[in-house]
Amino acid sequence: MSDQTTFTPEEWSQIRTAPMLVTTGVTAADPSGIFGSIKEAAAGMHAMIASLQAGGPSGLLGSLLADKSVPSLPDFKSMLGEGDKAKQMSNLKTAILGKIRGTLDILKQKASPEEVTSYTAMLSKVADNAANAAKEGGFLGFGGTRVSAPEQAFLDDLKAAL
Amino acid sequence: MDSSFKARKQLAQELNYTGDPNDSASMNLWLHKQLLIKIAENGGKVPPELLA
Repeated sequence: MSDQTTFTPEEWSQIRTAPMLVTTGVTAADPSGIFGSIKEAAAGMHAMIASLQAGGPSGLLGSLLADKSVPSLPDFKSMLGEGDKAKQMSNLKTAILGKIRGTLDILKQKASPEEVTSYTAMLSKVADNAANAAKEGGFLGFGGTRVSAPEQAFLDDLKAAL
Repeated sequence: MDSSFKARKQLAQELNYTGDPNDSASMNLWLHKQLLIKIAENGGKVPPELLA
């Protein structure tokens, strides 16, 4: 079993922020309005906390739950890079998926296979909850889709990386 | 709540965004980051002031 002491501070920060990056990827794939963005961010965080609580008090998930400090998030602007809006979104998606893969590489080296499975299941749940939290498209609350095509494309790429 | 770009700009301004408000991608991501931080600071719940 692993816990915070198993990892360097940088690795621990990366492990803690990956679920947040997942919600960022979903939100950026097809930006909703303010209320939708809040719903997506909150739904992702709720899914993360529920998964951590379900994981029990010990081991990786328990240790993540016990760390109540606010994690330091990366500079999203630098992840956008250069280019037009479509290129920047592509850059962001690539950067986020790269960080997720990097995080999983760390976990595969230092955590148990069961912990890696629980962690990847958590990331998947965070993504699904965030994507389903708000409708994209539609007008005045009518119509629109829960999971838009760009969000689904991000979910597919994420799940392929997990 | 108004979900227009204008409303997002206003919220970003209220949260002390110092970047270019016309760079919508950067501003949206900055706003999203602030939301994540505020939700994390509030124990995983949306702070009431964001829903006002």
